[in-house]
Amino acid sequence: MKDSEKDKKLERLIKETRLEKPGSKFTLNVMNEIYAMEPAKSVQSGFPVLGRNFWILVSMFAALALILVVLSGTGTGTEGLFNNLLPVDTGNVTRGYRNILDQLGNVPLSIAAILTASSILLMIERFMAKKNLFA
Amino acid sequence: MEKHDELYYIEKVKSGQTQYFSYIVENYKEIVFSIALKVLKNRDDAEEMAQEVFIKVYKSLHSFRGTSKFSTWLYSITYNHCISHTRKKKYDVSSLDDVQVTEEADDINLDGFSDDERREYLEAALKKLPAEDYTLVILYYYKDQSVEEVAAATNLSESNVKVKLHRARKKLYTLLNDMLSDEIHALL
Repeated sequence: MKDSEKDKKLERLIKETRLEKPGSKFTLNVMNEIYAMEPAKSVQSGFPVLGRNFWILVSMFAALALILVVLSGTGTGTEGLFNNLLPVDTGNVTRGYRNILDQLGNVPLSIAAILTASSILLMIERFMAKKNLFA
Repeated sequence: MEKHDELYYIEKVKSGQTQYFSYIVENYKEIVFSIALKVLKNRDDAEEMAQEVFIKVYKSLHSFRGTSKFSTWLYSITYNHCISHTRKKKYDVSSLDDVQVTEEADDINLDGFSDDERREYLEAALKKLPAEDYTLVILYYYKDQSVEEVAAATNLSESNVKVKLHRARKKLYTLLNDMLSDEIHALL
């Protein structure tokens, strides 16, 4: 029999054998040792729970809220200043925003609750995905 | 659960998601443990050594650039850790070195045996191989590493790997033939 044939035969026979298995908790023990070794590093290098997009959205809302407050001129104490800086008639814009806010005030409570719950669920889903709890 | 290429898990671990390292441990624990057990001949000590290998792999993962196969890189760490241990501690001065490897022992015939018997004989013969020979045989035949990859993992030259594999094969055939002739004598 040629060497290559004998080699193939031996390979086939060796592939039939089984390797020794470590204990059932082996992987767990290794991972625990790794976690115990580098807890600080794993926290530092972990992804933030709230991603960049979340903060962009929050910033946009904050900016929008600021604009609304400034344009409505309530509670800022800067009405005179802005009137001087912006000599354009902002009355229509202000009325528009007030109209929107009024409309929002008329939204039924159930819809507001649904929107809030959806937002919370989305945040939880995002948090779980980051922590790989669904893997 | 979705299956990914192991490089996917490596990148995840490198990016700080340590939990993905468990996929690597699961995938390689048997080969690493088998080699460690071959060296130490004690399951508890072997588990400890195998754990040390994985910790070493984890700590060095940032230095893995992907220029070679990950398996070859991991086997290299395993080989160096386990085999260097045998050299340091003078383990495994195997009695097999005293066995005369005959030229006739260049083939085996296990055709008349059942699958289970064949496997048992071969596992018993593999257990008697010295640690280094065992590692080379397992990497080459069981894990389908090429001579080049075995050479890279063991830091031996390719020609040296070929010579060592040839000798390991002879030892394996000798052991199997001895076991089979013992069996035949027991039956007669």
